[in-house]
Amino acid sequence: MRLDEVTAEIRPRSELEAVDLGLAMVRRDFWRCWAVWWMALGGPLVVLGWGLWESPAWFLFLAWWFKPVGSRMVLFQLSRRLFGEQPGWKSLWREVPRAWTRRFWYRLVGARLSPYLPVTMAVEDLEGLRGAPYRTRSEQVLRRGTGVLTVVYLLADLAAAWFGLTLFALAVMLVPQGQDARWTHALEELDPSDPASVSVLLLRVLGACVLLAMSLTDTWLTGAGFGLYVNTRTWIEGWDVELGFRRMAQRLAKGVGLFALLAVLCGPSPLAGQEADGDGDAETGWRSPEEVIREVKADPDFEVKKVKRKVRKYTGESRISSGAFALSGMVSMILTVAAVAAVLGLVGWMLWKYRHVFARSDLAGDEAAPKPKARVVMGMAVTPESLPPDLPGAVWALWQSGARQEAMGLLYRGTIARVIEHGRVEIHEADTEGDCLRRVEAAGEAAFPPYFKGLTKVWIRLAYAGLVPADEVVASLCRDWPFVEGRTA
Amino acid sequence: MNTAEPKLDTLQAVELAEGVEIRLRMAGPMLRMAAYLIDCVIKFVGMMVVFIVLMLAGMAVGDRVMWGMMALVAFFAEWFYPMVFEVGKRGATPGKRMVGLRVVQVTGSPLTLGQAFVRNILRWVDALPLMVWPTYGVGMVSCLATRRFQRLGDLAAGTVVIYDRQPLLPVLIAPPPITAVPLPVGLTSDETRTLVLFRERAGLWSAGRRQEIGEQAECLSGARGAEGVSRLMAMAHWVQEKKQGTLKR
Repeated sequence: MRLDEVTAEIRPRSELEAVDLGLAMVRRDFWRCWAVWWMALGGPLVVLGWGLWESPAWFLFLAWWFKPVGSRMVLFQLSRRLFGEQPGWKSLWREVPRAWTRRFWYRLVGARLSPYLPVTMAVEDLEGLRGAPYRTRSEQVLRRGTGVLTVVYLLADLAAAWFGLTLFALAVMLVPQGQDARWTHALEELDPSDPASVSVLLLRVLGACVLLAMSLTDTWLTGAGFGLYVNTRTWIEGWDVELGFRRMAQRLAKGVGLFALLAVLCGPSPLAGQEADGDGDAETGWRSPEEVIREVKADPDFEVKKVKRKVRKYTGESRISSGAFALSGMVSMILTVAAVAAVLGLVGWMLWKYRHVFARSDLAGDEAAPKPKARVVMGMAVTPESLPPDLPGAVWALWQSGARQEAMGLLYRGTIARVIEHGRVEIHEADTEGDCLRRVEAAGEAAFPPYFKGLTKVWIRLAYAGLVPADEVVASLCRDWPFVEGRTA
Repeated sequence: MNTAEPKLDTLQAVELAEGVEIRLRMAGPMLRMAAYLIDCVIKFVGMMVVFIVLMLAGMAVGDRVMWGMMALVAFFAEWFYPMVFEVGKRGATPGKRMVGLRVVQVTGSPLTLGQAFVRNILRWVDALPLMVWPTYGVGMVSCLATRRFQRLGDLAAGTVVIYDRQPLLPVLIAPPPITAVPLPVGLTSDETRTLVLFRERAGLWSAGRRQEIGEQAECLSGARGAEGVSRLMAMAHWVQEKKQGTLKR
C-alpha cells in the first residue's frame, strides 16, 4: 500500500460521506467495474442459464447467491485504482479464478448472508488475512459504520428487485401487442394472485431484467462498502495524519534555513543528512529575500487584472437605469404575485362558470328547464333526420360493401341518436365514448346499457386500435339492434 | 500513475466573489432517498387530514364539490410541496431537514423561486422510467453519473443537495503531556492542524501505529519511536495552549 499515491482525498468522514466517496470511486471507473463483474460471472451464468433454461427462478437464485464473486473483482479493480495503479486486462483475467476459489466455503457458503460482506471481503482480499487474525481485524474494521453498511447492503438487493421489476414492466409496455403470439398468450394468462402459474417465458424475461439490475446495484454496493472500509481505516490508522506529516516532511526537507535549524536543534539524524546530501540546491541555493519576493510576485497569481465595466448611457427618462435594476426585483415579485392571483382568479371563475356541474342533479333536475338535445356528439351528427330509416340494414349493407369504418360509425352514431331520442339520456356535445357509456348506464333499462356497452367496445377497438371485428360480431350487433321503432323492414 | 489527475473527493470547492473559498459537502443518493420517503409520509398524512376534513364538509356542500377540492389539494401537494419548502429560509423540505440536507445553488447561495420550480418540475422526469409508481431510475442514473450527485432537475436548475449539519466526529484525546514544547519551525495552518489532529485522534490508535505515524514527522520532532511521539504530543499541547491563551485574551 502506497499511501502517497492514493487517488482520492483521504480525510476522516462521516459514514454516509464515506459511502458517497465509494460511489464516486465506482463512477470514476464505472464501465471497467461493470465489465470486470461480468468477466467473473458472465461465462458461468451463460452455462447456468443453458442448464436451467426451464427453471429461471433457480437460475436467478444461484446468480444472486454467487454475486460476491463479481463484487470481488470490482473490489480488486477499485482498490488497485485507489492506490494509483490501473490494473491491466491480463491481470484482471488472472484474478478471475482466484475470485472464485479464494476461501470458497467460507465466503460463498458459510458467510454468504452476512450483511458485512462488502467490508469483511476487503479484509480477506486486500489484507490477505485468515483465521484468528482475520476475525480480530474484521472486528476492528467493523467498529464504525455497521448500521449504514447493513442498510446499504439490504438496499442494494431491494433496489435490484425494484429496478428489475421496472425494466420488466417497461418491457411489457413497450413490446408491441400481437407481434409475438407466445408473449401475448403468456401475458393474457398472467394471474397475479397465483405466482406459481406464471409462464416460464415471463419468468425468463423477468430473470434477465433482475440480473441486469443486480449486476448494476452490486457494482455500486461494492464501491460503497469499499468507501466505508477506507474510511474506517482512515479513522483507526490515521491515514490522513500520516499523509499530512509526510507532506510536511517534504516541505521542511526543502528549506535550507530549516535544515540549519534542525541541525542545531536535534543533531544530524540519519534521515535528515541523507535528504540534504541528495538536495544540491540546499547547499548552494541561498538567495536573497528580494530575489525570492520578486520570483514569488512573478507568479501569475499576483498579476493584477482590471476589468472595466461601463454603464451604458441612456437618454431622457431611461437615465434612472440603476434604479431600474433595483426595481427589477420588485417588478418580478409583482409579476409573480400577479401570476398567482391570475391563476387563482381563473380557478375561481371556472368554478363559478361551471357551477352547474357541481349542482346536485337530484335537486336541480325538476326545476331546470328541459335542455336542448345534443345535435352533434364527437363530431358526428346525431339528429334523427340525419339517419337512414332502416339503420341496421343500411349498416349491414355498408359493412358488406367493405366500408367497415363507415358502417360501424353509422351504427354507433345511430345508437346514440336513438338513445337520446327514446332512452331520454342527456348526452352533451363534448362527451367522450366513456362519458356516453356512463350516462347510458345511469339512465337504466330504457337505454339498453348491455347492448350499448358491447357496441362501444367494438367501436372503440375499431376506431382507435384499428382492430376489425369479425363479421359475426357485426351481424349480431345489427340483429340485436334494440330500437325497433324506426325499423321498417 | 497520472499525477495531474485531481484527487477524487465528495467536497466541492466554490470560490465566492469575495475571493473566499468555501467547500460544499455534496450529498449522495442514500440520504436523499431517506428524505424523499419521509416527505412522502408527511404528504400522505397531511393529505389524509385534509381529506377527512373535506369529507365532513362534503356533507354540506355536496360530493362533487368535495371531490373537486380533493383533486385540487392532491395536485397542489404533489407539484408544489417541495418547491414551497425549498424556496423557504431553510432551503429544505421537512424530510430533508430531518436528515440534515439542504438544497442550494451550485455557488452555495439559497435557491431562487425559478430554480426551485425547474428543479421540482423536472422531478417528474427523474421519476421515470415508470410513472405508475415513481421509480426514480432516471434520477438515480443521473445522480450516480455526475460529480456533484445531481439529478436531471438539479442539472437543469443549477442546484445541488448538500449536507447541512457537521456531524460530530469521534475524537479520543491521548493523555495530556506534562510539558509543552514550542514549535522549532514555523508551520502552515494545515500542518498545525495535522499536528493537533495527531494528538486528538491518537487515542484511537495503537501505540505501534502512533509511533509509525510519528516517525513520518521525524524532521519536526527530531526523534524516533516513543520519544518522537511524546515530543510531537508536547508540541501539539503547546499549540493548543497558545491558541486557547489568545482566545482568552
